[in-house]
Amino acid sequence: MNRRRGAKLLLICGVLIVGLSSCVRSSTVASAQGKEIDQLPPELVPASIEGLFARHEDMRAGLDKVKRSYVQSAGLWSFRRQDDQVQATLQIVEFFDQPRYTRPSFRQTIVNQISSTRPKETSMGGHTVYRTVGSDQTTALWFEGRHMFLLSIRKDFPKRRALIRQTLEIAP
Amino acid sequence: MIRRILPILLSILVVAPACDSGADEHERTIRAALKRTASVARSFVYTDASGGGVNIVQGIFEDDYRYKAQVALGRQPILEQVVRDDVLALRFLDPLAAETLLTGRATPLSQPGSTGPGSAAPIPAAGAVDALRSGRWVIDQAGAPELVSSALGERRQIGDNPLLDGVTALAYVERAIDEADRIVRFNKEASDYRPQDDTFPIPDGESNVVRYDFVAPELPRPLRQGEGTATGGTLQTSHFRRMGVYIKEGRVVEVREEIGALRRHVKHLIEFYDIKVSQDEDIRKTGPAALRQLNVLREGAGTEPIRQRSMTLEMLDFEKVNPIELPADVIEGNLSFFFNLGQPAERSS
Repeated sequence: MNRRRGAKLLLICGVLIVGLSSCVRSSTVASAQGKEIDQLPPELVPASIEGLFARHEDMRAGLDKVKRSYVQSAGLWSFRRQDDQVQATLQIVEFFDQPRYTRPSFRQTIVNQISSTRPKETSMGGHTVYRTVGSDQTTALWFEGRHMFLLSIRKDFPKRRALIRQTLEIAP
Repeated sequence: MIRRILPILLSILVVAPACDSGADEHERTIRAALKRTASVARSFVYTDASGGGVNIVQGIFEDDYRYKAQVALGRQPILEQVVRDDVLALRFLDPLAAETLLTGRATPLSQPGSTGPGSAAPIPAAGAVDALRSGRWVIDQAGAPELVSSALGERRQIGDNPLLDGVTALAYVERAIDEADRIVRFNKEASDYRPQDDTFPIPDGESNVVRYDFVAPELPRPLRQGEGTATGGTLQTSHFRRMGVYIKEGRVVEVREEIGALRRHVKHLIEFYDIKVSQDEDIRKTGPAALRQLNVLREGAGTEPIRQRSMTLEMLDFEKVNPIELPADVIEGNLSFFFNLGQPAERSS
């Protein structure tokens, strides 16, 4: 992937956080101003997965633009080859500790937003993983407790499924 | 006045067809059961009988990305496939039949001037083909087929590829839900139950198995334009489908499907499509004959034929399967020239 496409992957992931802010309706919903959304610690993701190096990307500028959100903290990592080319990005979001954010209906709202095509619900390693396959990339989204994971992978990366399976092991 | 109305009311209650006010609930029950079934490790047997032939796919799913399957055509095993995340392993048990299945060619790959579907496919590496023909396992590190529907791309006809049909059978049932007119819970006491049309097994009352039947949409009347003969283009497979889904403890344990013409279909086809069969003969003869004539009309108009078939899908050994491992003693190769394995992953250059 050239640097422009790698930057595009990162940008799309950053936009998701901002997009989630538009879901907020009720004033009683716990929310946070952008500056209050913490960044998840870099060491949450292993230094390398499936031969790719993980780099923690600074989302501060993007998070500062968020007015209200369901999100308590978030983090963005890129997975890169030895030559620094981005092969995948991983966004992890932590929702506020309220029961509504683990409800199937809330999660389905999120799932429906990630792609213009309807994601397919699949099973991998005991997890439910929502997948879409586009012309340039494939995405995988899953939930674990209060956390949401969104992994976007270049379509020509040869170990896409192995990367998803390894990433499923990350336990916030 | 009451004395006159009461018998009428009672007669309505007796002769009324099974009024299944829970049709939406049944649909939700089946979708939930399909989802629950697809989320657990299981083994399966898929049988497809059509045109005198029988295809059988037996397999094991550890999850949606780790599975293995063996395909038998006419009960003769012809190939085995193992998928473990991105990796595909393949072995021919009957090389000629397997090549025909996977390439869609009538002649083996090595013969010059091979024609037929997929003749534009790239020439495969000789080593991989030779290894397959000698019965060895060939492994492609990035060859696993993409079964997410957005990637399947081309419109695939059921029956063209029994291997894919078998491993995607639950998704097929999900689509059949969308195509059905409604879903009813099986009840042999219902006034509209026709035992002569029911070829599906009736669950044993002690078994805790519940059967749901998909009711086919009514046959539409043909649109006649000008002087042209109706060609059956508005008829779909769903009009001729009977499907039964058997659910036990929230999971699908069996699916049965028959695609074929019943007496009411034959009558309709005779009336509106000028089909020439006798209504007095056994439906087991006249039904297939009527559909064959309809398919001649459809193919003449460029429409896909309706494939008559009987299908059985059995789900077994829930959560009791061993992890899927790749075979040992393999040869590495590129298997992407077999386009009938499903949309191959794009490879890095």
